[in-house]
Amino acid sequence: MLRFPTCFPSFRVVGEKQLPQEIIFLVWSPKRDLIALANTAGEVLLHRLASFHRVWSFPPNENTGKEVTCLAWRPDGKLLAFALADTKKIVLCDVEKPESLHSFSVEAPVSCMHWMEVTVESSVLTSFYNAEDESNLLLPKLPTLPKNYSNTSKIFSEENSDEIIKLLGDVRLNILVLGGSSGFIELYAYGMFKIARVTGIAGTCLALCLSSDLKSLSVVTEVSTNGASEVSYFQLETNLLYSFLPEVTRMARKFTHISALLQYINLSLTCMCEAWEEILMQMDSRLTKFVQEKNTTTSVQDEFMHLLLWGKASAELQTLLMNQLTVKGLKKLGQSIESSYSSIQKLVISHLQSGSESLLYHLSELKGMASWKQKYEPLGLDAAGIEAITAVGSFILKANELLQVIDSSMKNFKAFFRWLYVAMLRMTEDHVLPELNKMTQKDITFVAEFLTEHFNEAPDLYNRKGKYFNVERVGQYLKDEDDDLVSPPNTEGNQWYDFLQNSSHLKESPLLFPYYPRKSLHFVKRRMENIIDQCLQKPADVIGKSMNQAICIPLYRDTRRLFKFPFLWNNKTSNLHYLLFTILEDSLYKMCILRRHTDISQSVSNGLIAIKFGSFTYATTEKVRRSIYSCLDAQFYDDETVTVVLKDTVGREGRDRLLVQLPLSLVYNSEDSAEYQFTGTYSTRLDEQCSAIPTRTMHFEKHWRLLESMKAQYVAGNGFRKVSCVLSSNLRHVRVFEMDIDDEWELDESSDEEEEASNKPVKIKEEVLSESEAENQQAGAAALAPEIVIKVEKLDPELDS
Amino acid sequence: MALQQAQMLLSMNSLEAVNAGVQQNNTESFAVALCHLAELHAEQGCFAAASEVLKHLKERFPPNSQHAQLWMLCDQKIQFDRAMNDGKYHLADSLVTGITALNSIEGVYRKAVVLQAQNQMSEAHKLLQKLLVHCQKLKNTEMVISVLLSVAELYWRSSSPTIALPMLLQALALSKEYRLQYLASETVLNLAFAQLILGIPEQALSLLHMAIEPILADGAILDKGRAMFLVAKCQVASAASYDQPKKAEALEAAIENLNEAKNYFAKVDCKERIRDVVYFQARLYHTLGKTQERNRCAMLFRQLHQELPSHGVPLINHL
Repeated sequence: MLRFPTCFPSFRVVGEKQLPQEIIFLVWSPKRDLIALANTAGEVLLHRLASFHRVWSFPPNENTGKEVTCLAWRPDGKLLAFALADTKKIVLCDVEKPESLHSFSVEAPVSCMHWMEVTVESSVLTSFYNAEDESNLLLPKLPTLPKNYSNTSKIFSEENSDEIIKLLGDVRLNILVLGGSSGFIELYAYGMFKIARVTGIAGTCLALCLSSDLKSLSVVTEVSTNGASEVSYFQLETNLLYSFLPEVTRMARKFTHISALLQYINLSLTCMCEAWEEILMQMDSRLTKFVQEKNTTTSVQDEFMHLLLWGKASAELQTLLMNQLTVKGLKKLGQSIESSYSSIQKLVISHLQSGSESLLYHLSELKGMASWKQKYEPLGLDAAGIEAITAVGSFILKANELLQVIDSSMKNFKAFFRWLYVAMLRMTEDHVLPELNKMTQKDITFVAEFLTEHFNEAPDLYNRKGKYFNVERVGQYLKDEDDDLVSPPNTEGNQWYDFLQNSSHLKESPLLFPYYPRKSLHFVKRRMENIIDQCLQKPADVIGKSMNQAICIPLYRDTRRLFKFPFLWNNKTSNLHYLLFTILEDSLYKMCILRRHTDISQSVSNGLIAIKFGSFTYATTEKVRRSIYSCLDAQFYDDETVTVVLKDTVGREGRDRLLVQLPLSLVYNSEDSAEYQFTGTYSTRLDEQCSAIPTRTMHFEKHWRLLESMKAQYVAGNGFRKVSCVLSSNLRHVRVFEMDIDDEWELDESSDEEEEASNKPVKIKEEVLSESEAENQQAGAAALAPEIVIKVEKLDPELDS
Repeated sequence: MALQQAQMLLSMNSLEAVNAGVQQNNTESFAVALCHLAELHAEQGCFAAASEVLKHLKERFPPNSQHAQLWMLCDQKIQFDRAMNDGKYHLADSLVTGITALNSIEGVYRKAVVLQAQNQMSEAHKLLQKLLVHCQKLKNTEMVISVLLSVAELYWRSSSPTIALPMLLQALALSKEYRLQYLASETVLNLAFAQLILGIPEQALSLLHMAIEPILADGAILDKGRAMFLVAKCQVASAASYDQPKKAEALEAAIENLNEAKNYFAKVDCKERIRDVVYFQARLYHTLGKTQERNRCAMLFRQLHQELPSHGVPLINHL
């Protein structure tokens, strides 16, 4: 019988909580003591380490989605990305408040994500970073969008227009890698713009890791066949990204700017549509009804002309004006037209125009880049493809046309309404104010012209739109339809267009923007978007195609599904990919570590190694806990350490789970590393050749802790803040640990402890050794592989820090 | 960007005219926009379109009408640039009088450019110095920068690039201060060239990274060609220190860029520069041991050389 509570446990519990919903994903912020959780209800929660209290929650909603599948932090810890399976969306969210800053749709539901940051430094890169500031100097700041419109995305409606800069973050390239079912892998620069689309990998992605030197991408996928799934590891070479890093950075930066601007323009247009009210159509519908009901042969235009000239209206017109339109109604109509037109006008001038001008600037920069063939052609940027500039130009021209239409409509309506108002007042025999009564010859001509132009009955229009008139001319530009404009602006007698039509060379000039007189603003915008999309799409295909599958290692066959396992890690300093996975052997899960160099051409020693957990000693009592352990979950804590959750197969319920910090320096001990060579082949499945995998047995006296009264199953570690979070197998119970507790403890009673440590040279007794050997023989299969017992007396101080 | 503004102005003008129902298009703004359009087309090598616009302007604004000066100046400038590209300096010189009559500063500047091209360095220098003082008094910043660039060019043509550097830095500071992006890129191009002459081609290459994109994006065709030519020169110069396989690679890349430059020059029929490019390419092919290509380039060079008498400025001293 072992005594437990007397010993001093490693790692201090700092928080514990039972949660109402099952947690399906948890990940620590890379820079702060915050942990993001996703639960089965579709909520994303952010908790703080201190007493594990909740900072905020992002509730599921219709717009974004309800089924969160995975989470990823941007490496600077300022943005959190989460993927939604039902809407196939990725949402980027600010760490400060639960608000979606940006979202985009993907083709397939995403099952795993990885957000990495490039760490390579070079002089060329720095000069690229510096060149970035130019556009801020040259372009005016984009005005923020008004708040009162219902927008789903809030990036541009904030008080400070630096939001977009915040969204972009550091100039240094960071890439969000998304993986989904049936080989769907995509790379998003800055988490916003797709720079690569990888094809040719089979199966659903379980884990992804793009190395921070951009040399290779590690992928773990599973292909399920009759109930069990086969898990394989792939390494894809991403040399194109690596060798063109400055160019990729610059291009991605430009792309992100462009896509953000497109979104801005879209939002401005939505605001404009909202500013346009249905009430403005009243005039058209009233008049149409009038035409249908009246039984005279005179046209509406004539009726109004009659009123204008003789001051008398026919009985029908009088009923229309007095009973249906009414003086009050006319006033209201006039006001709503004016307010709505002026707000649309404001939006066009301040938002749409400045937005599209910035877009034009960035696109022409992009064109400059594309013309530098040596640099950008290998990335798929095509100078001929940048016809987007003219498309944006057309859009600007169209917006300008809308502005002029609004301008003239406002003028016309004002004069017309004023005249009609006076006429109606006369009909009611009300007193007419003398200043209203004044009407010059010019005013009369003006109204007459307006009547001829706008009050023509158009039977063919009735067939198309169900109305005879189109007095209101702004709405047609804002409708999201493919139809031609109902009343396109009159370009006849227009000198510039005449000249252009009659010219022979100028007409074909590539510098001129095409003008679509018959199309709506929405149509031109959609055309622009399509063209821009097309020209930005190509690099994604080219870069994606360049990423070749270099290595494929089938790992194991299993029925168990874990949400974060197998685990991939990239060691940035030594440029290694690590893969943690488990192999089922004699109903025990044995942890294995596979490591590969990020550069595919280079190899690394001790490529594959299995870990066996031997015994755990209590620091103060010298009691030895010996048992057979099965690995439940493992994760990299930092570059040097792996955090493992173990299950004691013979332990009592509630006392059978352990949390262990496994130092890698002992696994890859340089003294005897030659003895641990993988003798099998990587082309057949690894769980079929267990015996060929070298196994190290580890013994611990420190850096482990019994997880009392908790069925711990999963772990998430954070080496930056030195904390870990353990999740129970029912997915509702979390416990948070501070991992560097022994340092403090040593500080408290340092002198005694050090002496004590030096007095106890060897803690592990001979019997441990012999027993572990006996186990080996029992296992039988493992006998082929070399095995040795490691003694962990006192860990190096640098491991603790 | 300029293109967009001009076209917006044009379409604005036209719709207004329709609404008023009267011919009101003979305004100054309309003339300015059209002139601008003509210049832009000429810069991009679309000379047919440019002359068409000018013809239209001539009809719209008869020579003795109010705004006729605008298109006259524009027309002469375009002719001047073409003559300079062609190497017909006497023709350019004859145009200078016309330009001076319409715009004295522009005229003096162009006179200096012609003098410089004809290797009359000291006269050009005197003229430019006077112009510089005058423009500084008038605060005509754009012209100040252009003049500074020309003076700098004079200096390195007379093989003293070190004196050119302060001029260039002053020009760069001015263009940054006044947010003149294009002139800034132009200045950087000149700076890079000065660095190349001073024997630090690697520095020049990294400097070019900053300037080349705006030039390739919005620049005149001639400038694009010059930029690519300079990139190629820097590549060759920095390849000198490389070992053999890497050197061959760098030279191949330089030849690629020279091809680009040649295409650009061909668009504005700048035969003199094409000749230089071809000469350079022939030398590179020779180094790489590609005899057939070398001979082809050499033959092209010979043809062009017979057509155009050499003006005696060595290839290296010419941006």
